[in-house]
Amino acid sequence: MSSTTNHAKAEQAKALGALAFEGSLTTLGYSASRQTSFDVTQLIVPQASIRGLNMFVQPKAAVSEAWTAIVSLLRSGAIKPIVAKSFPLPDAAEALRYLVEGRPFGRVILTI
Amino acid sequence: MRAVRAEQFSGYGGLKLVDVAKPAVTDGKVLVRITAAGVTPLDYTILSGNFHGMKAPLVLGNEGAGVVEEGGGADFPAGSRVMFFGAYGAFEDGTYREWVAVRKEDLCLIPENVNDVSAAGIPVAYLTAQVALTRAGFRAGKTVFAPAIGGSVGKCGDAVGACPGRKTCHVQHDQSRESRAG
Repeated sequence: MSSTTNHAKAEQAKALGALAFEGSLTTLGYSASRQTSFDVTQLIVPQASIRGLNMFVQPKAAVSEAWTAIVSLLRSGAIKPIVAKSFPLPDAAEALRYLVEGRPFGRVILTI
Repeated sequence: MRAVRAEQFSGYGGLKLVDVAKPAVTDGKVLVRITAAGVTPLDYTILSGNFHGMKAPLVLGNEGAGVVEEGGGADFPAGSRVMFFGAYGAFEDGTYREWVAVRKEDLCLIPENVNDVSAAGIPVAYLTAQVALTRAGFRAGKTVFAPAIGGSVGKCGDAVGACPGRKTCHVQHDQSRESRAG
């Protein structure tokens, strides 16, 4: 099993417990917290690993391949983006507050 | 042109609606008239002063959608609907404004069955999910656990992972969001 996670402290510990033998956990966000703690045996016993992901340093080829896969899934209708709410540009502060404090299900968008 | 800029990284109050110069199309960049911009947690992190190395004032917005006006060549002729993500809103001015000069390699044509508002929220979430799954060696027969299903990347990790032969499961602490995730 692989796992991708935005860290909530308890959530990451649970995610580690779910890893398969030689599974990996990818950490890529920190909207809940930057700090966490876990039981090292959850890594040791299954020989699991934790790795980070930084989208600003991805090779062009990796991003290009990802675009190709995503566009194909969008065209076929296999995946459908979910927009929770849109706001006009001047209401950007309100939109950000809604994203952070309102915990919306789906994306927050500014129309320009 | 209109832009929403972080004058200081001091929280919501640091955001101001300002009038700034329309970008020039230089260095092979493509001029895109922005129709919609995605709002991401990164914007809040920067606005709160918690991302080191950024300089104020900075127009926020890490992703967006719009229409090509010039400089796109044969790949992105004028009038093309495009979506993009990159250094915008972090290391240079972002998408909370009416026009952006975008590097051609950052652009992707928007499929006809996706509108601009939906497209603006695609790049960061779906690219991140897809790249993360690829780097983790995810393929048919493997299982992915994508927590925080209501968040952008969690939701896309679930969706992109939901391809033939792949298994996904997800959790969400907020019961109301979990029920909506189905």
